[in-house]
Amino acid sequence: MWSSTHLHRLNSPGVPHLCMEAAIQGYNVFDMSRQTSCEVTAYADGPLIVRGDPSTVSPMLAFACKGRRTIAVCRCGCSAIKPLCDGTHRRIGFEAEGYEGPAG
Amino acid sequence: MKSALVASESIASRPPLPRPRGPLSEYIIGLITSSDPSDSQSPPEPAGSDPLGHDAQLALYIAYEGHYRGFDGVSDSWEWDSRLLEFRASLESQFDRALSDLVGAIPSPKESIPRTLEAIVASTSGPSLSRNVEREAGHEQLLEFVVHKSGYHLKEADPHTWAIPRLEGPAKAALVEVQADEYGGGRAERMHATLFANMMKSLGLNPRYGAYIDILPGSTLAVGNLISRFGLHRDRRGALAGHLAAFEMTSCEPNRRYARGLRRVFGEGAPAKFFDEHVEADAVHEQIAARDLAGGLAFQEPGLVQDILFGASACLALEGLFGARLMESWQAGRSSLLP
Repeated sequence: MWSSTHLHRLNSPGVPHLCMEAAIQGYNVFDMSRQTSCEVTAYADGPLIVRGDPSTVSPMLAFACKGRRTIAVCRCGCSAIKPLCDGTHRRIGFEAEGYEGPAG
Repeated sequence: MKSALVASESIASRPPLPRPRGPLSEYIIGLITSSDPSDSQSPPEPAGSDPLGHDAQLALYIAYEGHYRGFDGVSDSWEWDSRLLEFRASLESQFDRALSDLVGAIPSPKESIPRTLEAIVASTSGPSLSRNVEREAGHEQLLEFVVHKSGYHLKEADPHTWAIPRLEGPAKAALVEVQADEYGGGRAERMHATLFANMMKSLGLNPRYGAYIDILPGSTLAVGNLISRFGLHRDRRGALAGHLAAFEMTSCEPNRRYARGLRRVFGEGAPAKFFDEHVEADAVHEQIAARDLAGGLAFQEPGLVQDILFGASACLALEGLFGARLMESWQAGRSSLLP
């Protein structure tokens, strides 16, 4: 099972290349024991968008999302409502590799 | 101090018909309340009025409203009446010209659509209404602010929904994902329009749809009319997608400031929480709207690129005029609402 530290590590210099590549395409995460799953996508210069059951990657996320089906998880580290994103990445000029949209 | 904006009326089913404020609104109100359908006066020429002014924007609002909730005492059959639609078209061409003048030429993008949208958002400057709400606006001004916002937020998301059947593939899926969240993900009590109405109630304001239209200036009505303009015409689906992207991309930070302003004056509770919810929701929506919806649509239909960028620029331009009126009025010590 994934832990919340994995979410953080996606943005860390030590992250395996393959892992980042997967997140750009949409990373499917399963928890076989609890039979939950979600899809994690790192959006370029922005947050991780998590679709599905966020408790698969972190119980804390499940609590924070308040039932929202798609959530944005902070990747720049500067959100005031962590673990969720509050759009601060734009103000601080956060740059990170990620999904650019259907065209890219 | 009890504000004059505070009302005790309960939510009724049909919105009240606004009062006329000039020849254009007078004509359309006369038309839809006429007891004799054959009695048709010739419509006034909109060219003489300010297309973004109080009268023209109210006339346009009334012309669009048949597609939303209608009006108390007005037959629903007016929605598709040819005289109304013809008059609406003349108002829309004036509105379009004013928007083109305001936005100027749209240069061909050198980067991807999401990155071009980022650049458009970043280059938009001007006095910040959200900073004023956060730090300076007093009790009465914050109530005014919420009353202005009610013009759109009581039907929040509805005008963008028109585009759903006009899109396909990833762009459609993206719009549905954003709209489903706006509508509470299947829970009526979580619908953003309902959250807004509850916030109005908690401030002692009248949460009835359309209750304050008579005192909303043209610059406020234009913000919502713009989305109806794009949403109700399939040939403007690009502009609608661009509008939603710019709208969401410029939402998190202002909403965080609005929440702080409301906490400063009204303390913890429902008023600030509405804006907190929007920070969290729009952090998701802005990613999807810019990359999957606007970017996706540009990829699927490259011919719409200019219109996508036009929609984004028009959104920001009208938001700018909206904010400027509020701040100019407040700085002059006046109400920003109409008498």
